[in-house]
Amino acid sequence: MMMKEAPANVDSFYQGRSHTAAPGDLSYTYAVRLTDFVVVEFARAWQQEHRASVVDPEIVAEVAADPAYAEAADDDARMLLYCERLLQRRVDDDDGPGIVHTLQVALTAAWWIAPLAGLLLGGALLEASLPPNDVRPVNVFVVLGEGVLIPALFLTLTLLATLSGGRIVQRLHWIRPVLALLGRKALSTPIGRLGGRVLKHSGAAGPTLASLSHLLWLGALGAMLVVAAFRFTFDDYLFCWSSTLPITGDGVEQLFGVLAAPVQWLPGVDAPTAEQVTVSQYASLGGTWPRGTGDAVQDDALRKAWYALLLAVIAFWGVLPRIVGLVVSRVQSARGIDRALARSSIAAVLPALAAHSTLRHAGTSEGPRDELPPTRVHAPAAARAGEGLDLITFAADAPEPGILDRLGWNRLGLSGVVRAVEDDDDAVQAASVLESLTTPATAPGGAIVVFDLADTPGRVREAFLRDVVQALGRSAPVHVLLTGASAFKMGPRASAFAGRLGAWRDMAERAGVPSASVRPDEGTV
Amino acid sequence: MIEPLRIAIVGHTNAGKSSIVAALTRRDELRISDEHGTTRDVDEWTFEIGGEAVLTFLDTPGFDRAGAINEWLDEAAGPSATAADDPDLVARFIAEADPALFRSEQRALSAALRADVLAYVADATVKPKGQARQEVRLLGKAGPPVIGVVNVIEGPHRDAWFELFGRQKIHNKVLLDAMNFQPEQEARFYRALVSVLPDREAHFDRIAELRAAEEAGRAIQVRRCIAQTLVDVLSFQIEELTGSRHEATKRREGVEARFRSAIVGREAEGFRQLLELYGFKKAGVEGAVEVDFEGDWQASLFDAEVAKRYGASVTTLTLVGAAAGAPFELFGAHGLAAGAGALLGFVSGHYVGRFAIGSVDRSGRLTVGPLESIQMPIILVNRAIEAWKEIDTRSHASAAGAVVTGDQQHLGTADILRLKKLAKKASKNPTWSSMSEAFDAVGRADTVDEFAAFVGDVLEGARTPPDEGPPG
Repeated sequence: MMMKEAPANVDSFYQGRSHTAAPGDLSYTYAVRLTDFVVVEFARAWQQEHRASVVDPEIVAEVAADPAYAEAADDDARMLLYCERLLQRRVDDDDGPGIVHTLQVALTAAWWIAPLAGLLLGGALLEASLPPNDVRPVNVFVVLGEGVLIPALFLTLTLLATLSGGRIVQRLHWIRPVLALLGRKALSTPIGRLGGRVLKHSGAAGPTLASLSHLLWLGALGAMLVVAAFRFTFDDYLFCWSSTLPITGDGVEQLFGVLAAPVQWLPGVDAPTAEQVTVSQYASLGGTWPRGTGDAVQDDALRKAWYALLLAVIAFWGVLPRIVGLVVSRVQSARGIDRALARSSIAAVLPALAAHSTLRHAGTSEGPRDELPPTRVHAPAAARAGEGLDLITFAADAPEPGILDRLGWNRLGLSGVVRAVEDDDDAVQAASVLESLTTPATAPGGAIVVFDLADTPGRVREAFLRDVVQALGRSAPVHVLLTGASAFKMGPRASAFAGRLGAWRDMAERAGVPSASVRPDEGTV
Repeated sequence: MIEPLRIAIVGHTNAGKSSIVAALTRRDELRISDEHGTTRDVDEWTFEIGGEAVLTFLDTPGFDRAGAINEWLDEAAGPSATAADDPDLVARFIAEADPALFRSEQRALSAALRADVLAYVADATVKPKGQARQEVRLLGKAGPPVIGVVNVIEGPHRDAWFELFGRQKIHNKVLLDAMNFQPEQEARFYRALVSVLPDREAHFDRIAELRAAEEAGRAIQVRRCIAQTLVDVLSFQIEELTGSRHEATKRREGVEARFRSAIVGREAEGFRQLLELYGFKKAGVEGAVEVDFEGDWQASLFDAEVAKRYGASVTTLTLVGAAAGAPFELFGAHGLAAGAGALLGFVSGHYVGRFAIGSVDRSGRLTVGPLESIQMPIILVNRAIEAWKEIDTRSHASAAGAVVTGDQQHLGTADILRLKKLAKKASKNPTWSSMSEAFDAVGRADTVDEFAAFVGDVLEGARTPPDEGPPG
């Protein structure tokens, strides 16, 4: 029972992870990135939608036997392995596995597109603000605005959005119905839904948004620095200061003194002197522009002094905060994903993987790995607590071989265990089966309860089904298989088939099993 | 007069108990459904034959938890308890057990205790399981003798049920089919009751006597019902004096439509009368059965295709005509004889399928009907026979509409000639139709009797042979 209630066991799983993560602890391995989390989230959603066993014994056995499992960095990586194998083995083309790849590509593309867009943005901004060098001097406040002030403003917005507004961002999936109302179906598509779920469940929505913002501005500021360095080196620019604000020379001197303080240790970077500030005032240049002050040495000194200072100020006040922000958001993203993985129902697979791995090591100690019997991997593993769905027959024959395959229920993660209540008046046997469902050592991850369609879904059967649901817990998947459907349809009561099936579905609903999980074995005779 | 025998119909939920009661009592107003636990209380249905109450059926809610009841009874029984104490224990269970858990079972057992005999109904489409064994065992404790009734003759598990009854010492068992209930099944049921209630044999003799009298009386009524319908339809005609040939021609189509509508309505009314004779709900009552036709009989009476099916097709008559003319070719007719014969056959075939029901004379008299077409009386009689067969064999448990699917030709050459003569007689007397304003009931009496005799002979030939009873 301990393994099927994932949320209740988060702490225990958390403690059992390879990197004992606690709030504030930054020792994350980042084995699972957001693009990988897409796989995990898709697998979780698929299992939930199909009401499959979280721990699929066959997949667990396969993963535990995979050499990649031994090489996995941590539990997150092991979960990822499990999910990838689950998608590979269980998910049909109809279930849309392609959207996983598409979303991964989209996320990866975003990491490239953001800095590239930033490059274009930064280059364009600087080019737009730099006049031809023979028209007028460059206003240092314009460069300061584009390289420090605007990035700082957007950084503040980013921080506000991702820190204080992070929860709202993480609920971006709510935007789906809003957009649908507006006639925009983009997020109503499978990929839109998956993207929304990834943002919702990963805990990385805010940091991801911040990372993209940082990358954009790093690209932009990088482009500014490169373009500025190139232009200031090869073009004969003069620098001045001018503002519509009531700022004096002293103020400018103090401002640049502050800005230059952290970078003054760099060679060639000094805070401007009072004289520099005075001669750089646009108004003081008078008619000497664009030829300069008339003193070539002074002009050259003015150029170099401003040029180096501006590049250093942009690098420190513009670029450095973004780099720090990028690092922090990546760490936050990794932590969010890590926590989301710990909360995910799929975390329940870790003990099962560990147990199978131990079993496998015990086997390999007696001989080389290659000598393991191949059926060990492909057949459902021996029943373990919480692993797979048991088949429980209640006064009904076990389904014919192939029926579960035809219904697609072989994908739900069958444990291979069949429990039977031979007769509908055998209360002792029924109690024994129910007890085995609650005993920690034998409790499965869910069940397929088999009834005879021809029987009326009376109180005895309803009570048993309700007991099964309660024994396994409301979150455990329970399905109902009705045998003898074809015989019923060909028999004298064929016309009552739909009514009988409806009665079974109503009964299942009352017992706590969704009617969609009640299926007749159409193929049997 | 006899004291009605009380029969409790008991069994698992949805075994078909109410259906059996409906079939046996010939009452189609019982609540019958495939929905689980349709009967929630004990319903008493008195079966009257000829106004005499002979049986009272106690239709009970189904058992669902007999195993738990037996456990209760086993626990309640002291170490010195004997089988004779069982009915008292059952009464204690009814009084003391938690109604929230056993309400329907308590009601069913209460009915069982006050019945003269119990009929345990088993559904042969369902495999007998533990709860069924528990139910049979439980009923054995109630006191009255038990017979086993296996419902659905074609059910795949009927032998398993017979075996179960045998193991539980219920040696009187009967195979019925509530949805396809036949008089022979009813007789079997009574024989099974007699075998457990030998001292009430006279009671069942009386029932048989009353049933035979009722059947005989109904047979006469059925013949007269069909005969009256035939006379009404075949003698019916509408005559209108319009003043001019032009006006008559103009109104002809409308009057013909009215005529066809009246004929179809009268035929449908005849079917409704037949249903009522068999105890089905009267027309207009909610859930009343309507007769629908499928296959060759489904089309309107006035569909030429149906007529041709029972007359002769264009192709057939063309070939017959050509064949008839062929011998003359031997005398050098140069193909003219065969050609003329074929042409004649073609024209005959073309018109044989038409119902020329309207005519206009020079004075402006518009006459529609009677149905002189050779096929119409044949079609009417065949449809009536098929409808009667459906109604006669129809179970009162059936909730579905009466759908006539048969398309058998029931009339031989002699029958057709006899019918033709009767039809001609009727068509010459428009006042014999009850749809006529100048209806002459007395004048047609002899002809109705003749039709009834004809119908009786035809129905006797069309009757489905009875089934042979349960195997083994």
